[in-house]
Amino acid sequence: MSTLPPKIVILILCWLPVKAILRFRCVSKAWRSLIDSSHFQGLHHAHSLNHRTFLLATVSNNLRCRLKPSANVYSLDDDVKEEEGSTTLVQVRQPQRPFKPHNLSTFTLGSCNGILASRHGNRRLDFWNPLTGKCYDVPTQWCPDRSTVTTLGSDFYYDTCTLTYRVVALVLNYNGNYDLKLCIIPGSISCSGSDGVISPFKTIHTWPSSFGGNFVDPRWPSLCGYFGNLPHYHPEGCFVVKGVAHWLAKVGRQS
Amino acid sequence: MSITTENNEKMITLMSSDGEEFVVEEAVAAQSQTIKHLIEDGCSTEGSIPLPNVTGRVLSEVIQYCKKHSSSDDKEEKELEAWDAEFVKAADDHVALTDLMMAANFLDIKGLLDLVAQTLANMITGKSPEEVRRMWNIKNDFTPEEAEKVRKENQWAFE
Repeated sequence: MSTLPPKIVILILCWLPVKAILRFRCVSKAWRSLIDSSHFQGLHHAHSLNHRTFLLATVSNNLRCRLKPSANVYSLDDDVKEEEGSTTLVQVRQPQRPFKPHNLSTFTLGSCNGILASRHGNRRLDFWNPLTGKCYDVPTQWCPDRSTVTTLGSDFYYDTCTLTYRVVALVLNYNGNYDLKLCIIPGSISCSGSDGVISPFKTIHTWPSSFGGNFVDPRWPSLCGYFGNLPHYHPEGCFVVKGVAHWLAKVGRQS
Repeated sequence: MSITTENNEKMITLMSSDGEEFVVEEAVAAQSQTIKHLIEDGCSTEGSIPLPNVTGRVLSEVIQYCKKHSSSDDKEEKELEAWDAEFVKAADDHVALTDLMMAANFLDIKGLLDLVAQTLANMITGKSPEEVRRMWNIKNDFTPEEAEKVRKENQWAFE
């Protein structure tokens, strides 16, 4: 029987859950490089979204909190398929972290497309895909001056316009006056060859590193002025849905 | 060749790689984007359309699918799904399905391609790499050390 053309292999693999695909990296060198290619990863990702096969879900016991070295990070063992309103649940697994979370200050920032982002201190961001075990560690500058800047909340999201994964933070800057800003956190991810992508299923595109040491992306609006009465207005948390940032706030009691 | 039936349906002839001829309505054949383009380019006006990559056995299955799906406007979606399920079940094994998939790919029939790809994916989803190699005669070109390394990279996928 004739050999399977790569195109046919791709079309079949697109229907498979991630676990099976990772196993089939062992079939042959051709299959491995095909699976590791960003072309296939993109197709698989798009296909999964179209057919409502959810790639994976990552659950941390305490999102956006200090992540203790002993904290439990869980990942669903397989894709979850939604069929006629009912969801087939699959086994939950505690994946092996490629590194030990820092004792000092590891915070989970959020998860997006199955990738978990966390920060270690003020200098490092980690992007980790528990399914594939791949992890990327990028330099950042979280808070230039901790005495005046407080992070109120942050989120990790995929910007479909620029095809970039980003971390945004809602920060409160106190320089005599309160200044509330929504910022993109600088950092950079290098994409070198097939190994440079964070996962075989989601390609991480170059993290915008052009912001250099600037904490605030000039393209993002500073939100100061929106909250004139800041001492009585307490924003908490921040999340990004479909490219729009949302945050929770409560109005404090006037004294 | 272009014949017109009593119902005024335009008919065209498709010829398989082994010389078998199939006369089908143009609307049926045009489910294949490849054939549709050939018709648009005027390739069907004289003689039959040769399909050198598709055997008669496979082509008759493809035509069965196209017939069902071209007359499906007024049919319930559920009924069509059930028909599809029976259709791939009848194809029986992965060899026949792979042939069907290659034909669907060549003829560019998206619905059939998706249907067969999904069926094959369901077949292999729980299988080991060794079983997949045997299904399609794929040579394992990893050295034992390399194989061990690749396996270790995604150990959990084997658990």
